[in-house]
Amino acid sequence: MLRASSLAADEQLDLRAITDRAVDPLIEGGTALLAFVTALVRNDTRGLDAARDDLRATAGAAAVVRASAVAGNFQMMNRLVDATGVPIGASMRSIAIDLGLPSARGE
Amino acid sequence: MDNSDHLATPGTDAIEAVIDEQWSAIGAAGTWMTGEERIDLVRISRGDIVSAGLDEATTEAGGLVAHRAASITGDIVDGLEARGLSRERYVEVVGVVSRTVAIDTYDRGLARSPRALPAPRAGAPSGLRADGARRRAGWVPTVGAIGPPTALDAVPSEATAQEVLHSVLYLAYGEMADLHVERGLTRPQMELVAGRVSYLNHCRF
Repeated sequence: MLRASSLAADEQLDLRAITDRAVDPLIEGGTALLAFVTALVRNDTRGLDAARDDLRATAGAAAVVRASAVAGNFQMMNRLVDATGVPIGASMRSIAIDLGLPSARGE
Repeated sequence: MDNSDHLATPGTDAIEAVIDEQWSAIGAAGTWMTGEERIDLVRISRGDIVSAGLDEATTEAGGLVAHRAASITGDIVDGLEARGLSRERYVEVVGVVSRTVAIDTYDRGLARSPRALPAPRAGAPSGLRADGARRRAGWVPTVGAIGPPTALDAVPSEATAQEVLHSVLYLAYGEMADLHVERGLTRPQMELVAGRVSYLNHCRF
């Protein structure tokens, strides 16, 4: 969906930013978003406060709320699909290759 | 301590209303678990020790879903079943734990302390079975083909709660194909968040 939505918005995107923080995602506010959700999911309390302030300054308070909500949703969905054995599809395996991931379930 | 007042924005009321309602409902009996048992799952999700109440297999399942979901295999779910955890009860564990983690993540993002445990409510589990649910390609029974929207079908109340929470935190299923939707973030920004979270969780999907 990331690749498709970027194409639809006519935005550039570097998917490698998802796995490598040294890579600029090329999406507006993307670097601040990545720092925020990384600290949020890792429960890095000190880093989270600074990242939240930076995201708010970069993209606004609404972005902080929505980033928290979307992160919460995928915390839920990741657990749900991993715990119930939802099979990975062929399209997901091709994205895993784009991300530089070594393997994906179903191979 | 709640530092989130400055983060209040239009559109968050719907999120807050759904979360408040679902949090309260976790304290009530579900389909295969009592309210007290479901509250124990909240404790497990937060890494707290649960000294009594839940059986060993349910406790282990809750911990796995909360903290090591990517390590779960079909053999592990088979083993839990052999130790007395039915597939349907396991589905309820997955639903309650995954929603708890979602809600705690949202609150943490807004600089809020974890909300207080839900108040326990008396009552017996309903034992309601979903018509037509059976094992297919996944590890749990589903009514149709298994996928992210259908994985909890065997426990309809959990499937419904997951869908409602998904719709306010992210997008309704019917909005998923709209690549131009904006909710505080553009769609590419939302998907960037989704991709990073999934990577950090070692999610295999």
